[in-house]
Amino acid sequence: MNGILVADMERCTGCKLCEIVCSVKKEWVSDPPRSRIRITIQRGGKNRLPTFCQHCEEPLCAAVCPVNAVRKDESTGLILLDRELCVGCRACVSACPLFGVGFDSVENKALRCDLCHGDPACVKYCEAGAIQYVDRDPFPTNKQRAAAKKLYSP
Amino acid sequence: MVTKEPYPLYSACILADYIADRIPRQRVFLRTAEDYARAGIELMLARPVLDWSPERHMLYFDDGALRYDRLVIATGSRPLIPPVPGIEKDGFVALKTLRDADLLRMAHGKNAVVVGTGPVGIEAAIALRHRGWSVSVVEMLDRVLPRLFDLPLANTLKNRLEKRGINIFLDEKVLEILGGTRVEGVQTDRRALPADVVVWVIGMRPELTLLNEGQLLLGASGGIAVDRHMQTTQEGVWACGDCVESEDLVSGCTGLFMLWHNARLQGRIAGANAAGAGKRYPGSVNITTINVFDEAAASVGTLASEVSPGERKVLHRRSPWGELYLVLKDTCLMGVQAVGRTERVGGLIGIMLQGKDLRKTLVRASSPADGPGLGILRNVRKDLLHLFG
Amino acid sequence: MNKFILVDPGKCIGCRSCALACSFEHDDEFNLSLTRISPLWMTEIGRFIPMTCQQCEEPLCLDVCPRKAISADKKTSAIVVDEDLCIGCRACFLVCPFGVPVIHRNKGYMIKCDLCGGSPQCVEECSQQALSTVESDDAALRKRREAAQKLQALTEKISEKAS
Repeated sequence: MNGILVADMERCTGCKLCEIVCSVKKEWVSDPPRSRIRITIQRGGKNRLPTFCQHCEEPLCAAVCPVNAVRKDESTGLILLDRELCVGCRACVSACPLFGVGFDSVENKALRCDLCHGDPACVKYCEAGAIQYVDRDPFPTNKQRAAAKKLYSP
Repeated sequence: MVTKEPYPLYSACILADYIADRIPRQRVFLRTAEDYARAGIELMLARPVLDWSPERHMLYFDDGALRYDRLVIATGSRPLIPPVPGIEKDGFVALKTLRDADLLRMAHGKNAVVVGTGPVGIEAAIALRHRGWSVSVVEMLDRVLPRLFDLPLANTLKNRLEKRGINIFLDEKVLEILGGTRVEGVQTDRRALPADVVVWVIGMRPELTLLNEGQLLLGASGGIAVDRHMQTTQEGVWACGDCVESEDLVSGCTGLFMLWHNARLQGRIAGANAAGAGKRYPGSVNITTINVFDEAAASVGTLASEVSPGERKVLHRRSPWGELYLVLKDTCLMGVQAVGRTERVGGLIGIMLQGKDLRKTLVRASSPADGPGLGILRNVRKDLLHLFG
Repeated sequence: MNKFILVDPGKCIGCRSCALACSFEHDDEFNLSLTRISPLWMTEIGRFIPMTCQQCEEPLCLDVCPRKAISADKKTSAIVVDEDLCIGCRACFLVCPFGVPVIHRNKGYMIKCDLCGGSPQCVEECSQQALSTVESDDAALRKRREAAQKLQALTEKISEKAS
């Protein structure tokens, strides 16, 4: 399945467990700033927004990368970072419009979600069920189905 | 593909990392000669084109000529070097190509003077400092990175550079490069600086020496004028990269936006259209990121100094994780500058492009459609509303 | 007022000619995965329901787009995606209450109903007249008229029974 993460602002409690789980799984250390998923809590704590890579079709992070370290995996359609090539210039961090790219200041490289190769840890450990791993491009979309049901149910 | 460069494609953006020994030389290259061969592209390296005849569809070298049906001009840019006395001396480097970077790495001595504080100048200064040089930077204007940052953030970066031992001299003009056959110093209008190497990076101009008078229409900024499809005024000739002028997607102004990602997208579109595709270039997004000693700074859009004082509003926020500087024209977001967490710059591009009245957006109840960008503005909502009165 | 495609699920027989017409109009091929209108079989309701863009008056997709690739067409007032600007980030899909914008599988940008520049092909090809192009205030008026007719029929029935 070509999946994607979908976040639910309403359900997210802002506990940041996903950040810890992600850094432990990927970096073997509990260090939330090195997580590939981040929870942005807006002032006043009213809105909590999990942000992560959306695996765009024509990503801006790949466009600005000066060393072609960000590439689209043709078989899965995922946007992956070659950590060997990355020079840590952070161009992708500032170019992403969706807060999708993080930065590892320990290893001086960009951080991006690779969906744990189809088994995202953040989804498994989210107590509130605020992060879901769903089919990337279902067609027709499940959302269309739900909306149709809501609109036309007798 | 014909080029005067002796190397296949390399990334000019990371030459500073190579100078600082952060990456080995072979990592600078993005393509090998074999890559071109595999793609069926005949690569002609170190073959400068001396003349061009659009009527006869010919390119001329010193030892031959080449006929074409369709031409894509991607000559890029050359360093801007005004006639300052002494620029012919050994040790004077205009950092642009891999050869220049090699020269800088081989240079001996202990004092380096960098003239110009654009991103290339700052990166070169930092790289030389990493190599143990004593570095001085001379800038004609009142701040470092003058095209990217307004005074407050430029000062933050300047302090950061000075703390790491780089001397910065602002509001100074270089009058002469001193020395015999070798560079020995730089004479500005205020002082003489000792120098074993001078890095001259005050800016870039489109490389148009190939063009004769009237062959192609040039824009007001001095770049080749192209339409939305990257086609020039000559039939069958496309142009792309640093040598063309394009439209800024954010401000709508036409100008020279010599950035890697713009050039790359233009190249892809010019190439596809030369092959008959009919693709359209949406415009340039001029987002620039620079690393100043392991802290990133980024900028996009208009500077406050470019907005007329009557309409200009600015918001400057300091927080433990950096600084944010918003430039507004009346109630529209026009520019974002950030030190530290630079992802905020990207997050706000969408709002800048929309060009909406921020008052309306800010007082609306939050919705999932806000995205991360509006979240940043919500955090400074009180200050913004105060600014609008 | 925005024009949009009004669906009458009672008439739809699920033949999918709308979907085929749509993909042929936009991509020159008959491909059901490249359509901007999709008739869904709803088991719960026992009907086909064609779902397409409602051309909202204040579209969330337009607000959320990080590249300003979505805009209201000047001529048709349809909400359209600029193929060159779209980066395929799916933000519009995530916020759309109807889940309408989908990715173009071959070309990597989002696709959604653009009213075919004014004369929607799906409406022309629908053999059952289940689809029609309407102005949004027309649509409200039509709905009200239909409801009134139903009410009238009902009252007639009741009065018949009573008499």
